[in-house]
Amino acid sequence: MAIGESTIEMYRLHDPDVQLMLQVRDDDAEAFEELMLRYQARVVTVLEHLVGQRDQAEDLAQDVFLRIYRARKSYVPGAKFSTWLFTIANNVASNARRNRARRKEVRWDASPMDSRATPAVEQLAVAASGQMPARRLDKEEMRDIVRVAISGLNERQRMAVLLSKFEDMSYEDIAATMVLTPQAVKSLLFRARENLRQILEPYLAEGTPPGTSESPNGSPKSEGDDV
Amino acid sequence: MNASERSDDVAISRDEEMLVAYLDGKLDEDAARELAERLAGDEALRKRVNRLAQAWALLDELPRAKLDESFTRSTIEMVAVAAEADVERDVSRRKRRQWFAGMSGAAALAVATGVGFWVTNQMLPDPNRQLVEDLPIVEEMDLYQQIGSIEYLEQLADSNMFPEEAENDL
Repeated sequence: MAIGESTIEMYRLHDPDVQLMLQVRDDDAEAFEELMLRYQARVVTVLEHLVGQRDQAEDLAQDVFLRIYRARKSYVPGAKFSTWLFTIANNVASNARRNRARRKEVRWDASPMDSRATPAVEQLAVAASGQMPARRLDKEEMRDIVRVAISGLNERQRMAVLLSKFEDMSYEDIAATMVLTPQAVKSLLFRARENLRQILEPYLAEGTPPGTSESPNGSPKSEGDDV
Repeated sequence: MNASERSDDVAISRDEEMLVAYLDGKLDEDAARELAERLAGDEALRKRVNRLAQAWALLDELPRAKLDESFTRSTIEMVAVAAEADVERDVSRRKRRQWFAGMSGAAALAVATGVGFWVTNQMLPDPNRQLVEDLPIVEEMDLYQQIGSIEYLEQLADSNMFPEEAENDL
């Protein structure tokens, strides 16, 4: 669909990152570096929590920036730059997930965030100690619990949550990034919140990590997230 | 799309929509007052809302990636290599196109030349053609001049006095 001149002008005037991207379109290498510096950590963060592995997240982030550079000549500012960038990131992550599923490797969602750094749910249970269910978890353990919880969401819920929480995107921007309606994003985020609440309920109620007791109706992943 | 993602597409109820708007701070004043009244009188709902908010707040614990300069450098190097490869590919594609264009031009020129030669040969009078056609007469010119009249030769032919020559002429 063609983008109106007024839309282009609006983003060109109001989004400094769009202005940088237009400079990249004109082969300004410094503008590209500046865009990278502004976004690389944000992209890696979202991708890391999306795909579950830091190394892969960095590889995918490089792929995202490469695609941006290659697409520079045809760039037309029809949305905020961040929306455009995270749309590419979402597509890159989806492609990677499909390729990985095709290769029949380890389950995407069940893979630990980082095998060196992140214990499995069972290990968390031990760490939280069965003898002291209400003991206060340290910062690292809490992070691991939240990682486990977010990895329990399906891919779309996870993406919507990450864009909302980390990128502070509006429903409309998330919808544009994920090619959904704003109403669908509201549904997605509500279900994601509910799933997180259910996974984290043991921790919220007693301070114990998820997985140490049966959740009311099991993990949200058991609803059919078979990726 | 898996079953979980399909269930995401089912619309949420008005109450659920109100809850998510409340949690995101996007509920208008009237609706917020209505929900506050319900929360005051409904402990289960109040607990659910609190849990939803707490679970959401816990996401702040997720670590943000910190990248050192090497990531930026290696990405820019990778992009530069790819850009160079793109340029080389474009140049090679352009050269190939130019070669094809040159060859096509040469072929078209050859065909045009051939056609032009043929057309010219067919359409324009060839001064030598008449000469070739008249060659038998030219060769016997001295003899014909001695006879003096073409009508006399025709009469001789019609008289059938020299049938073998007439047959040879045919």
